[in-house]
Amino acid sequence: MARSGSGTDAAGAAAGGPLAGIRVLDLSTIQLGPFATGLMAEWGADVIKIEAPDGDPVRKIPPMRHAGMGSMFLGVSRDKRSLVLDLTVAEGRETLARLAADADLLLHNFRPRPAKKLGVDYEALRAANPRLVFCTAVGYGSDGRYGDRGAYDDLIQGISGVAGLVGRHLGGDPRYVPLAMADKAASFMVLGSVLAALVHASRTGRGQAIEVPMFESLVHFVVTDHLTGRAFEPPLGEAGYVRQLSAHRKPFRTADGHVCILPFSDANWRHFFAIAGAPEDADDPRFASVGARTENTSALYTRMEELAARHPTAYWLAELEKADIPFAPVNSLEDLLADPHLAEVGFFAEEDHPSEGRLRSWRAPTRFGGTPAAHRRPAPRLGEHSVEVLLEAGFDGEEVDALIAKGAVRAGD
Amino acid sequence: MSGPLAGVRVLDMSTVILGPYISQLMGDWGAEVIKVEPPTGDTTRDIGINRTPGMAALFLNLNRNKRSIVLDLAQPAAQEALKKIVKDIDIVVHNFRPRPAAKLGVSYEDLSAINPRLISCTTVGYGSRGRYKDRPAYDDLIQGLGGLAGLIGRYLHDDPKYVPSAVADKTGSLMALSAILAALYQREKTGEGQALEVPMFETLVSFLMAEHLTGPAFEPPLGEAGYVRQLSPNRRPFRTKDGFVCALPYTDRNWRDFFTIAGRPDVADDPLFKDVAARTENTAALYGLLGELMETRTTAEWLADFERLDIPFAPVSSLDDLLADPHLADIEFFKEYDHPTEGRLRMADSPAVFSKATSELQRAAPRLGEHSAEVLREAGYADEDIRKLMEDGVTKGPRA
Repeated sequence: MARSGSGTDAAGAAAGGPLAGIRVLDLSTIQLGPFATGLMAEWGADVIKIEAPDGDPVRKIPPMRHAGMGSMFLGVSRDKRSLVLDLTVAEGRETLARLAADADLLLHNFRPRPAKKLGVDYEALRAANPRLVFCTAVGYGSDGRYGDRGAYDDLIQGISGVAGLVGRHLGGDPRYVPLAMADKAASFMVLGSVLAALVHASRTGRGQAIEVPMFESLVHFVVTDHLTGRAFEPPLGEAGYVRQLSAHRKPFRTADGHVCILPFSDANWRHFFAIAGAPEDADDPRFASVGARTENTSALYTRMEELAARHPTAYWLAELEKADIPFAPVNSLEDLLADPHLAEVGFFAEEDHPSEGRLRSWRAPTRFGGTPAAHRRPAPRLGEHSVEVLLEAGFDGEEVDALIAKGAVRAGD
Repeated sequence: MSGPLAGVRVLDMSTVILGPYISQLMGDWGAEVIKVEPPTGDTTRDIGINRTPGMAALFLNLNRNKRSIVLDLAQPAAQEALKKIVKDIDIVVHNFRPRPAAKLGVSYEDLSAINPRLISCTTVGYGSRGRYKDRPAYDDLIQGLGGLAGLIGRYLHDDPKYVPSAVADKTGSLMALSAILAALYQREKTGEGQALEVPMFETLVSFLMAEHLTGPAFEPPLGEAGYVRQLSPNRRPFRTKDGFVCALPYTDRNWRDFFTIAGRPDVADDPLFKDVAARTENTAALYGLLGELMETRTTAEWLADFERLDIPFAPVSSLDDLLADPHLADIEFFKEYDHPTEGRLRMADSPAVFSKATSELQRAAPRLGEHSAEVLREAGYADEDIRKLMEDGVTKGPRA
């Protein structure tokens, strides 16, 4: 049954937003796919999160008020609907195929063999829907020898060079960045590539299959600055962007905390030394020009550390701002929650969730000058929309009941 | 050009990393990218090592698949040329703030008057509705302001530190890329362009909050912000006899196998570690033991056994390791090509693989102004007019 494509759904809520009218079947779990589809949902797409009977494992990560509604799930699941399908039974796979016949995008992170067994198979689905964009998010590119390896964010940070670079920078052991950098860098790559393919499908009527691997995505991200001398063959030098790897590049200790200071022009430097209470340093021949400062980097940063430690953070923040010297505070997560600029741009917002009580979430930072997207629905309980989605897709009531009786579909409570 | 964005035309006036990374990805995906540079060129042309001046390493990888036109936008004749080019452009990217943009005649109001279908993306440091909007946007500062440096200090139990890579810039690029493509999708349906603003600061904060909001996702909060697992000091590559390796034994089977090859099969039966619940409760003891045992064998021994036993693992790669990685070689991730003036170069290919695209380099990274004449001709300028523009310094061609 053809959808109206009007950008509304059974609830009649108008989506608005640049992606209004796009229907996404999202079978992915945790963050690699869901971070991307979270943005798509926020930008107006109709995202149907298809979950196994146990639900996306991310639902279980605490904290939560009620089982299956953990904070990491909530953060990327607003404006999504939840449909539970058991793809290990034939009727579950048939249901998926019927939905896929009318979808714009299907996204998953199964590996090829399990995917096929679950009916998540591009070759099978494209026949009924030549416009379908089918995206596989994986750990490693399937054409390479690591294609079958299990991939977790930590491991990808290790193999993609991030942990080694952090160790180099710190002058110590390799360490991770305390973020799911690999998951999310790849998730952004998923988002960009599926949108490009959707644009293409819109122009040509033809869909395609895409594969986005975490390893290659993070390597691409990293070598953009760090390829350096190895951009040439034979090399003109080693890989590694010295300025970013330098131990000097760090927030400075103040008398009671830390601050980021980045004097740039000669005038900035003169003001910095004056504020620090060491105006005579501005005339030190080692520090008086860009060339001199570059040549005496070590001495300069050692001096900056000494001077920074003389004054409390509040003094630095006030004086650097007044003097127009590039600076920033070192914010904690709590600082961000209280940040006045973020309040002014409406970054965080509170809302009342029907089952989870009062929640706090954030808005994607992009401002669309055309129609902004409307927030349509709160993060879904498991299987909350199973019946609604199937009825909307043209299944009749009896069919849905039969599927539920078979266990192919589960409806939430 | 092949790729999902074949036929899409992009005008990129941005410099350094954030904007150029956006248009690099679009160019790799088949878009036609015209890079507008000031007479002195994008600053990255001079950052890092080079074979010839103005073609430094940082510039080369970021700016392949683009053409370069020089326009001195302070001159009215250059603004006029830009307007002629924009008639036939789908997407404009720049990082001028509103007042400079208006002075140069490149505000959305100016350009959409000529081309109502235009999508214009301005990348900024901080959202223009907030009080930080006029602050300078350097990657370091945004890492500090955006909470990333503080998180690292928390994780290290030490002073705050930066991530040694332009993370704020590049997450901004990736957010902007998606916003632009979303707007392009909308335009396919409605025929309308629009203006977009993508701020680095808010982008980085949203990147962090995806896992770190935690307790304050609830009001009143259920705890402090910060995802405990990622902030745990246990979460780190393990020291081996001769280096480091990443390992993540996961299932009961993984742990049993690990303790066996480590020469301590008895530990697998220890009630402290025998299942997920027990291991979660005794995390500190478990990882303490894991750390000790990891040091007893070499990296190569561990890697071989982990692979054989299907225990999730990875090596800790250096940059040189990446360049020699056999999987990346299998998929031809690092591509070499012969640049017409810079000799043999290496670049990183786009990581997304499209079934309807070929992965060939369309254009080498351009010399400054290499395509000034060509682009102006396409925009309808006659050769003698182009010559005049060059004489007046409105544009220029490449150095001979």
